[in-house]
Amino acid sequence: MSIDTPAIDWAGLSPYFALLGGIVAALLSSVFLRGPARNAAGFAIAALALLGALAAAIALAVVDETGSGMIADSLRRDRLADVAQIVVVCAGLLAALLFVREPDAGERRGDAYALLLSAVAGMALFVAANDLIVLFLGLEWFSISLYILCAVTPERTRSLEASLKYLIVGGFGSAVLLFGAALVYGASGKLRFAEIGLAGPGSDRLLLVTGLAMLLVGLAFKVSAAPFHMWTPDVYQGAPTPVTGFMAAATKAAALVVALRFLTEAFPGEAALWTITLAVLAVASLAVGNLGALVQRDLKRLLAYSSVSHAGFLLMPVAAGNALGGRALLYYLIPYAALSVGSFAVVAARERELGRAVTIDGMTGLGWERPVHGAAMTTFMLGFIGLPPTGLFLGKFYAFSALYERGWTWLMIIGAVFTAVSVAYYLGVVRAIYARPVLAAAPAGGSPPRDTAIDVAIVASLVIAVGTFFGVDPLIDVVTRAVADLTFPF
Amino acid sequence: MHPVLDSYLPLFIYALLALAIPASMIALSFVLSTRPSRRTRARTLPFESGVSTGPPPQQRLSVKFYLIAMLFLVFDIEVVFLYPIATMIGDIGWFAVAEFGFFLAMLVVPLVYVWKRGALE
Repeated sequence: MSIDTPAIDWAGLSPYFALLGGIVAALLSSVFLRGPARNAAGFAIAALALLGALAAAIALAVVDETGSGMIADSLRRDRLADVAQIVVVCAGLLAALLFVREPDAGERRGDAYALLLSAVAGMALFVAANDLIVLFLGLEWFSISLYILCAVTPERTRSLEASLKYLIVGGFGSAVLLFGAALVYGASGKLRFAEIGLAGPGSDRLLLVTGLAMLLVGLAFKVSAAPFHMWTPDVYQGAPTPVTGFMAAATKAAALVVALRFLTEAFPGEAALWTITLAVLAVASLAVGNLGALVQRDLKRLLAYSSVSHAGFLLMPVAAGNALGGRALLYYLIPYAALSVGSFAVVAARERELGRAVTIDGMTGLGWERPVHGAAMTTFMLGFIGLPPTGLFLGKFYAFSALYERGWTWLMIIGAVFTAVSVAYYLGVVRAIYARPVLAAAPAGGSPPRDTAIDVAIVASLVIAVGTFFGVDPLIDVVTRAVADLTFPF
Repeated sequence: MHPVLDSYLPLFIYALLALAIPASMIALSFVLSTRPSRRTRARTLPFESGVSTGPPPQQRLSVKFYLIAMLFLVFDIEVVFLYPIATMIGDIGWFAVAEFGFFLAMLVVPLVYVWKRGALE
C-alpha cells in the first residue's frame, strides 16, 4: 500500500510560513536572550517575518489572476485574501513599531512580538477561509492571541481587566458563531461557502436563516458593531495602546472581508435578508458610536466609540450588496486602518510622555510641543470625519455611491447626519491639540527619550492615509480586481 | 408533525427526565425528611452525602500542578500521532520521516519554551 503525498501550494502558503517561522524564532529568542538584546531581537524577528509575509502577499496579489483553492479547497488563494493580508500585515508592522518602547511590557516584550505575529497569522488564515471550519479556526486563532496580548502588561490592572472582559465577551461571540456554523451545516449539509450557496436552503430554511443570523452576530462581535460593541470601550481603553491600535485596524478589516466573502458566496439566496440586517446594524453602530463618543473624556475611549461608529460606515457598503459596495469596503479599509493605528500611535506617544492615561485635556498643547505629532493627529481626526486629504474622504464617497446604486438613500442620509455629529468630538480633539498649553501641566522629570520607532509608525500611517487620497486610481484598480471573483446579489 | 420537531422529541424527553430527577430529589428530601426539630450540631453542618465534614485540608495545592497537567495533556495528545505513523513508516518512506522530523521539531520548540520559562520547576 502506498499513500499519495499531497500537492502543496508552497507559493500560496508562503505568507503563513513567514509568519509561523517568525513566531517560533520570537518565542525562542524571548527565552534564550537577556536584556536589551532580547528586545532588539524580538523586534527584528517580528519586523523580518512581517516584511516577508508582506512581500509574499504582494507577490501573490500580482500573480493571482484567478483564484484557486489550497489545502483541499479549505483556503482560498485569491486577490481578495491577498489584499486583506496586506492590510493586516501592515497593521501588524505598525503595531510592532509601537511595541519597541512600550514601557509596561518589560519582560514580556519578546512574547508580545510572538503573540502579535500569531494574531497576524490567524487573521491571514481567517481572511482566506473558504469553509466554516477554517472560518472558526482562524477566528479563534487570532482572538486567543489578542486576549493574551491585552494582558501583556500585567502590572496594570486595567490591562488584565480588559483581557478578561475581552475573553469572556469574545468567547461568547465565538460560541454563537460556532453554533450558527453548526446550524448552517445542519441545514445545508455543506461546509464550503460556495457549496452552501449552491445547496440553497434545502428542506429547512428556518434552520439555515437562524444559522446565518448567529454567524452574523459572531462576526458583529469582532467588528464591534452595535449592539455587540459593549466590550469595545473597556477593552480599547484597558489594553496596551499598541494592541488597541492593532485591534482597531486589523480585527475589523479581517472580520469585514470575511463577512463580504462569506455572505456573497454562501448566502446569495438570502441576500435580501442579510443586506437589510447589516443596514440595521450599521445604523445602530452609527448612533451608538457617535453619540457615545460625544461624552468621552478619555481619548482611548473616544477612539473606541469612533471605531464603533466606523464599524457602521464599513457595514454600509457590505449592506449595499453590490460590486461597488465590495470595492468601497476594501478601499475604505486601507486609509481607515492607517488612521486607526496612527491615532493610537499618537496616543501611545503622549501616554509615555505624560506617564498616565491621555484625556482630551491631556492633548492640550501637543501641536506646539510636538508639531509633527500634532499635525499628524489633526490629519487623523479630519480623516475620521471624512475630510480630504485622507483616503477616507473618497472611502465614504465610495460607500455612499454603493448605497445610492442600491437605492438606499435613507441610509446615506443617516450616514451623512452622523458624520456631521462626529465633527463635534473629532474637532474637540483638534482644538485641544492647538490650545495654548498651561505651563503647570508640563510633565515632571523632563521629556522622555526620543522614540524613533513610534515616530516612524506615525509618519508611515500619515503617508498611507494621505497617499490613499492622492493614489486613488491605482488603488481602485487593485480593489476592483480583488472583488472581481465575487458574485454580488444586487 | 414537523420533521425537525419530530427529531428533537427524544432530546426533549431526555431533557425533561434530566430535570425531573434532581428536582424530585430536592422535593422528596423536604417531604420525607425526619430531622429532629431542635437544632443539633450535625444539622448546622453542610450536607456532604453522609460524610461528616472535617477540618479544611491544611496543605494547599500549587497552581503549578494545573499548569503541568495542562502541558502534559498538550504534549501527550500530540505524541499520540506518532503511533499511526510508526505502523505506516515502511509504506510512506522518507516523506514520513521528514514530515515527522518537522512535527517533532515543532513539539520541541514549545517544550524548550516552557522549560526555559520555568513552568516545569
